[in-house]
Amino acid sequence: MDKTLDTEWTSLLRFLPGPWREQLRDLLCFELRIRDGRPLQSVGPGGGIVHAITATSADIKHLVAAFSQSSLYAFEEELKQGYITLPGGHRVGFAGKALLDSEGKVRGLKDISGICLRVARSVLGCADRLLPALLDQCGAPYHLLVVSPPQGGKTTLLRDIARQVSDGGKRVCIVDERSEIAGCYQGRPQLDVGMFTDVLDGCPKAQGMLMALRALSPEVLVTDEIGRTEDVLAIEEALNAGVRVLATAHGANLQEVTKRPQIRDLMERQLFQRIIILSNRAGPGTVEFVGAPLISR
Amino acid sequence: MWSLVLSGACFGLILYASTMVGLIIAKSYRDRPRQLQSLRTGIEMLVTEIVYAATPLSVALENVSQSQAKPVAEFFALTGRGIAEFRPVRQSWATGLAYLQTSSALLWADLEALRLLGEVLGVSNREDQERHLLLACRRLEALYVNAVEEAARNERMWQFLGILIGVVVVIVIL
Repeated sequence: MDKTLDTEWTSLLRFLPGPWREQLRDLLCFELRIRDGRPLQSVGPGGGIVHAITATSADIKHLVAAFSQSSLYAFEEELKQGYITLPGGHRVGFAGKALLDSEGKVRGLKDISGICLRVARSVLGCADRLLPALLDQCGAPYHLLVVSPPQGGKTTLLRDIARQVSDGGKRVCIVDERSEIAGCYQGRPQLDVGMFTDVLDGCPKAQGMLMALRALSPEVLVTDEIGRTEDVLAIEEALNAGVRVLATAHGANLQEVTKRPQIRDLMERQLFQRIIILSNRAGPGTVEFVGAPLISR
Repeated sequence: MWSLVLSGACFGLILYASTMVGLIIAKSYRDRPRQLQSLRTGIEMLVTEIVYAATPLSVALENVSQSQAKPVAEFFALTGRGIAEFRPVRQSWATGLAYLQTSSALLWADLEALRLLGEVLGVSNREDQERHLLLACRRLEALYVNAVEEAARNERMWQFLGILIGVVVVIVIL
C-alpha cells in the first residue's frame, strides 16, 4: 500500500460529508471527482473507479463550505483561477458558472456543480537518478527546462530537484504562481521544498521572479509553466544577475514546446543548459530525455 | 417571641430579595451598552480580519474573541469553534447567539440585528462582506445610543425601586 497516499487521503476525509467517510475510508486515490447528481469518480494507482455514491446539491454545498472554511472571501484570488489549496497542499478545482467583471475577466464562480479534489504528495527522491546530470562542477544546477505533457510529473520532479538543491546548501526561491510546486497554505509550504527555500506563493511568475531577485537574493530561481513574453524577460533578468533558473513548460516533446515563439527564442539562444523531457508512456514521470538541448536553428 | 423573630426574618428576606432584583435589573441596564459597544468593536475588528487580511472566518473569530471581554468574547469564540468543526456558519452563529441570549444583558432586538449577519457571513467576496459588516456596525451603533439613553433613565431608578418595592410589600403585610 502507498503509505504516503494513504496518509494524505485520511487527512482529507474530514472534509467529506459524514455518510461518505465510512465508504471512502480505505480508498487510495490521486483524484476524486464530485459532480452534482452524478456518481463519484476516483482515480487511483489501480485506475479509475465509479462509486455507488451520488452527490447531491447539499453535498456540493457542504464541500464548498468545508474546503473554503466557510470563507469564500479568503480564497477570492484563487477562486478567480478556479481552485483553492487545502492544508497539505491538496488542490480543489471547481466547475460552475463564471462571474465576470466589467472587463470580461473572471472574478469568481457561482452555482458550483462540480469539484475535482487532487491529492498532493511529494515523491521524495524522484530526481535522484537525474541530479548528477543537472549539476555543474561546483554543485550548482544548470539552467534547466523540464518539458512534459499534463499529468506527466514535471512539477513533482521540479519540486524534488529544488528540494535537493536547497538541502545541498543553495539559496532557492520558488515563484509559485498557482501554488502547485510548494502547495502553500496560508503562505507556508505544505510540501518539502528544502531547508533553504523561500516561496513567493500565488505571485505572477514574471513579477515574482523580479521581486525575488531584488528582495531575496536567491542563487536558484524555480518556477512552473513558463511561456509568456514577460516570463522570458524575467528569466533573462535572472540570468544576467547570475541566478540559475529551473523551469517547466507544457509539451509532449521539444518540437512542440518550441512552437511557442517565446520558448523557441530562449532555446535558440541556448539559455537553458539542460533539458528533461518526461512522458506518461510508462506512468507519470517517465524520463524520455536528459541532457543539453539539441535544437536546429 | 419566636413568631416575632420569624416575621422579622421573613421581612428581611423580602427586603433582600427585592433589593437584589432591583440591582440585577439596574445592572442589566448598565451592562447592555457596554456589551453592545464590545460587539460593535468586535465586528469592526472582523472587518479588518476579513477585508484587509482575508483571514478565514474561524481564525478571524478566534482572534476577535481574544480582544473582547465575556460574554461577547465567548460568543465569537463559540461561533469560530463551530465553523472550525465544519458546522454551517448559520448554525454556528445561532449557537453563539443562543449563548448571548442566556448570558448577556442584550435584548431580542440586539440579537436580531446580529442574526441577519449570520446569514451572509463568509458567502461572498470581501467587498460584499465589508458592506454587510458595516451595516451591522451601524445597527449596533443605533442600538447602543438607545441603550445608553435607557440606562441613564432606568439604572438609578431600579437601584432604588427594588428596595422601595420591598418596603411597600413589608408595609402591606404589616
